[in-house]
Amino acid sequence: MTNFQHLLSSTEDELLLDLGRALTEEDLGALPQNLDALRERSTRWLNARKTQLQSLICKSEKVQQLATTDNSLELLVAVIDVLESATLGTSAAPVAAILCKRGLRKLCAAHWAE
Amino acid sequence: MASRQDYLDYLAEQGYSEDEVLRMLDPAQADSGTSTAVGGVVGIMAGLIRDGNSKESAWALEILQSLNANTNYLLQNIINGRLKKRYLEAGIEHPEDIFPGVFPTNDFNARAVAKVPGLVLIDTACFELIEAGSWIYFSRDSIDSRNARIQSIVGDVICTRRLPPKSALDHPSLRGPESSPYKSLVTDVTTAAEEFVLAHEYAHFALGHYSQATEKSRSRLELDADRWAMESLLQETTLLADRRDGLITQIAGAMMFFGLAHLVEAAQKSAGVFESSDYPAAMERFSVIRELLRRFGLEEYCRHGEQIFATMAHRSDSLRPQ
Repeated sequence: MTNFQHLLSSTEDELLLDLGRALTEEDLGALPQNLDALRERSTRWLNARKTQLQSLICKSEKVQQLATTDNSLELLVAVIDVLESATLGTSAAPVAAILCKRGLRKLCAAHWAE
Repeated sequence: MASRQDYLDYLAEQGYSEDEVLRMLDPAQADSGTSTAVGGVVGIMAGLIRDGNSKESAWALEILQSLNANTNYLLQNIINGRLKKRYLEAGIEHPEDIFPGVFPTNDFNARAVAKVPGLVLIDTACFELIEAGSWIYFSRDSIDSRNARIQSIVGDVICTRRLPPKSALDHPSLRGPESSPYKSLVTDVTTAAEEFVLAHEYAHFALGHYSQATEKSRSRLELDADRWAMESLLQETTLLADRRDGLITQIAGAMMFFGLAHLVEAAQKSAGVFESSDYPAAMERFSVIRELLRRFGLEEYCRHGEQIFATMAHRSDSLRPQ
């Protein structure tokens, strides 16, 4: 079950670690993960998916509407819903939380200006 | 099972590309002396190819191609290729269609990928640190000095995420013709350690660990994979060669890996990047394998490996390497 409170209260660094763990959680590694390696994995993954994530999130009218309000919980839930409808290959929750934390207006500036 | 395309797709999905895999001859890593020497060798090879002598030109072409390749060539065609061949020749049941690939991140790890059955990834720094660790271990220097050099290199890799410099593979005691036996040991132990890492990942597939991942603890899975890797390597060495040196080297390779893993753990803890988990500590893994070797009556072959681990673990008060 998604712990929204955890997602909202975590720092971006903690969320990057959560995403790194989600990306590798079923792999059988020879050694425990290096936290810096987890940060690198999630940063690389987000960069590689930036266009796809923009396309998914910024097209959502509900997300655009909620982004103008102060309701961070509803916005987070809406972004998670959008991402869960696509095949991301990993848990949508930390991805959505990172993007919300970074700012959706920035992510979607080009789309929402149109 | 996994294919080269699966490997490339996985890299792309994770935001990496094969272009980032270290070259066999990395211009950024080579110092000017190495470059000049390599330039000379390449010139001779090119001459052989032009001469058209079929046997020699084919040999020269193969070497030039491998020099021009990235380290996937080394992993797939040499390390994995030889390991599979020996497993087959010794009749050891092993998972088929494993595709090993270099994961271009400067971490010391390797993994069997859950999403792509059969895909095994070896992080760049894993084999690079094994190579550097072997060179330093076999240099004829005091145990304290060697331990300090290895610790420094491991610390740098963990803290800066930069690969060991080529200067780590150089020491006055390893220059000149009289150093040939030591260089040969470096190569043998490096290869044995790399094979152990690969065999450990083979083990996860051979033992069906994906279906047991929720039932057994991570610690149990890793220790079982270590045992399978060591047993299979000892079995094929005994069956194929029945040579004392082969057994000693194969054991020494595994201990080299555990010794480095022990230093990596310490460096990660010191740098605050250690992910606490239920993984067994390298010291425990070393002890489990040593116990396995004792049960097989192979204590006498263990000594050199124990010395390697002792050097890495800074137990300089224990056994002094020969």
